[in-house]
Amino acid sequence: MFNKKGKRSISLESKKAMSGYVFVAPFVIGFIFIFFSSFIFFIAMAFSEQGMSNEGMVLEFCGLKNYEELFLSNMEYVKSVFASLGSLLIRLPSVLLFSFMLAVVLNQQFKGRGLVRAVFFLPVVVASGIAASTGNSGGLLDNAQMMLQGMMGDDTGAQNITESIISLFGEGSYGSVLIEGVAAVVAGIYDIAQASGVQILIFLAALQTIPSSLYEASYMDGATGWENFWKITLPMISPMLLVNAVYTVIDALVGADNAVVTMVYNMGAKQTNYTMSAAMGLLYFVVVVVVIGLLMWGLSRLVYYEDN
Amino acid sequence: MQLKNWISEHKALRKRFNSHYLKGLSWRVVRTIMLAGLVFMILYPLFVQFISSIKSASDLGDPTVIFFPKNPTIVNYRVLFDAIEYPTAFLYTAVFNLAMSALQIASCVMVSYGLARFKFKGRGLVFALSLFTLIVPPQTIMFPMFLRFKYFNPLYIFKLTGSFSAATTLNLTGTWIPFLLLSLTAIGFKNGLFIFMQRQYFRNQPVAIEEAAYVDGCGPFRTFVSIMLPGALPIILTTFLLSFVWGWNDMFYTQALAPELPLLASKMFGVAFEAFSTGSPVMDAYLENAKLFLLIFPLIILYIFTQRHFTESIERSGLVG
Repeated sequence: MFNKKGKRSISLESKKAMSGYVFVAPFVIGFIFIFFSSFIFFIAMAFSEQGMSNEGMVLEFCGLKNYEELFLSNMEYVKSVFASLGSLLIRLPSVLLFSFMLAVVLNQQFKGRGLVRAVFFLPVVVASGIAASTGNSGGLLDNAQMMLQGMMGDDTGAQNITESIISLFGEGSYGSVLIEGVAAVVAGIYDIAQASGVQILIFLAALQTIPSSLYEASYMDGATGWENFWKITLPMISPMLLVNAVYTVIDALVGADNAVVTMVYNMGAKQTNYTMSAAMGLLYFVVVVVVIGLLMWGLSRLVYYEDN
Repeated sequence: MQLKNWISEHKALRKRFNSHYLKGLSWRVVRTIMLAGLVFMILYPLFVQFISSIKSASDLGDPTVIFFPKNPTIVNYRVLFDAIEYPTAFLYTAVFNLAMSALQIASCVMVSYGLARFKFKGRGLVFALSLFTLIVPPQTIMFPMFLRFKYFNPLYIFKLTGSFSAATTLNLTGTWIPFLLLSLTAIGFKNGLFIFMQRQYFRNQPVAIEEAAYVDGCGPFRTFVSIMLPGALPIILTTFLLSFVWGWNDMFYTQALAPELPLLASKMFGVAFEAFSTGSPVMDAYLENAKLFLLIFPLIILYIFTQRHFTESIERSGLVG
C-alpha cells in the first residue's frame, strides 16, 4: 500500500475513478445547487396551496388536495395524458424509420446534397422559432396561433393531401378503406417529417463516425450491401438509435406542443395557479419517467458498444 | 472490319448499360423523386408564409391575388428592422449565444467523456440524472427556477418559503449570470440530450488508442483533449449546432430569467411590441410572419454554410493497420 517515500500509492483503478469524478463534477454541482433545488421547490408546490402574504407568495402544505381536485374536476387532464401515450405507439417507430432512411439517403453523394440537408433541418429551426413566438403570454399568443393555422391551414398541409388522394380514386368506389389508409399515411408523413429533424441530424452524425475501413475490409471479403447493413451499419449506429428512440419519446411527451405540457403551462402562466400546475406537471413527469425507463431497459440490451 | 467495329461498340454499350448501372440509375431516379416530394412538402407552407409576409394592404383587398402579390412590399421587414434595431440585437444575440453554446458543449463533452470512460461509484446515477434534466420540461420547472435565481443562495437547497431576505440572497434575474451558470454546469436547455449523444459516441470508440496513450504516460486530461476530442469533432459540431439554434430561438429561459437582455427573440416577441399593431388582424398576422423569418433567417444561412464542415466525413486519427 505504501511506496518508499511513505506516501500512499493509489491503484490505477481508483485513480481512474478519481478522474471520472473530476470530469462529471460540473454537472453534479449544477444539478445539486440549481436543478435539484428547483425541483424540490416544484415538488413542494405540488402538495401545497398558494396564499398571499405581505412578503409575496407563500406555500401552505395541503397534502393530496391538489390531486383530489385534479381527478375529480379536471377530466381533460387524464384524457390528454392517455392520448399522448397512445399517439406515441405510432410516432416512435415511424419517426425512427423515416429519420434513419433519410439519414442514409442524405449520406450518399449527389448534387445539391447540402441544400437538401438544409431543408430537412428547417423543421428544427422553424419549430423552435414558432415555440418562441407562442412562448409568451398575452394577446400575442392569439396572433401566433393564427400564424400556425396559416401554416397548416386550408390551402396547405395534411388535411388537403388526404382529401385529394381520396378524390383521385373516387370516393367510396373500391377499397375505400385501403385508400383512406394510404391517404392517412401520406398525411402522416408530413407530421413525421416535421418531427424528425433532430433525429436525422443525430443519425447523420452517427453514420459519419463509422470508419470507412470497416466497409473496405468487408468489401474485400466479398460481403454484399445487405450484409454490410446488418453486420456493420446497424451495430455501429445502435448507440445513437437508443438516443433517438429516447429523444423521440421525450420530444413527443414533453415537447412544447404536447397537449399536457401546454395544459400545465397555461395553468401556471395564464391562470396563475402555480401549485395546481406543479401538481399536474409532477404526476405527468412520473408517467414519462416510467415510459422512458421501460424503453431504455428494453432497448439497451440490443445496443452494441465498442468498449465491452 | 465494319462488323468488328460494330461488335466492339455493342460490347462497350453493354458494358455501360449492364444491370449494375441500371440498378444505380433507377435508384437515383427514385431517390430524386422521393427527395423532391419531401422537400416540397416541407418548403411549401413556409413559402406561403413568406409570400404573405411581403403582401401589401392593396393585395389584401384584391380578389385576383391568390398567391403572388401584385405589389410586393418589404414594409413589414423594414418596420421590424428599425423597431428592434436589428443589427445591434443581431450582434448581441450572436455573441451571447456563441459564448453560451460553447460553454454548454465544453461542459457537456467533459461530463459525457467522464460517464463513458471512467468506472466510478454512482456513474449510473449521474447518467440517469442527466437524462432526468432532459425529461423535466422547462415549462414546468421554470417558475421554481426563477425563484431560485431571484433569491439566489446556493446553500438554500431545501429552503422553500418564508425568510428569503435580500441580505442573504442575490437577485440574479435580469442578468446573464443565470445563463452562464446553467451553461457551465451542463444543465441548460436540452443539455441532457447532448450528454447522452456524446456519451454514446465515446462508448462506441475503441479503447486501444487511449490505453496506448496511458502507457506512454499521458494523463487522462491530455488523453481526452489531444486524442479523443479531434475524432469527436462531428458529434461536437452537431450538438453545438443544436444548442445554438435552440438558444437563438429560446423564449422560456430568457423571458423567465432575463427579459431585459436585448436578444432578438425577446425584442421580437416581447410584450411591448403591440405598439406596432396596425389594427387589422390579418395585416398583423403578416407582420408575425415577417418576425419569424427575421428570427430564423440567420440560422438557415448558418446551416447552409457550415453543414459541409461537420457532416462531410472527417478522417479519424484512429487506429491504422
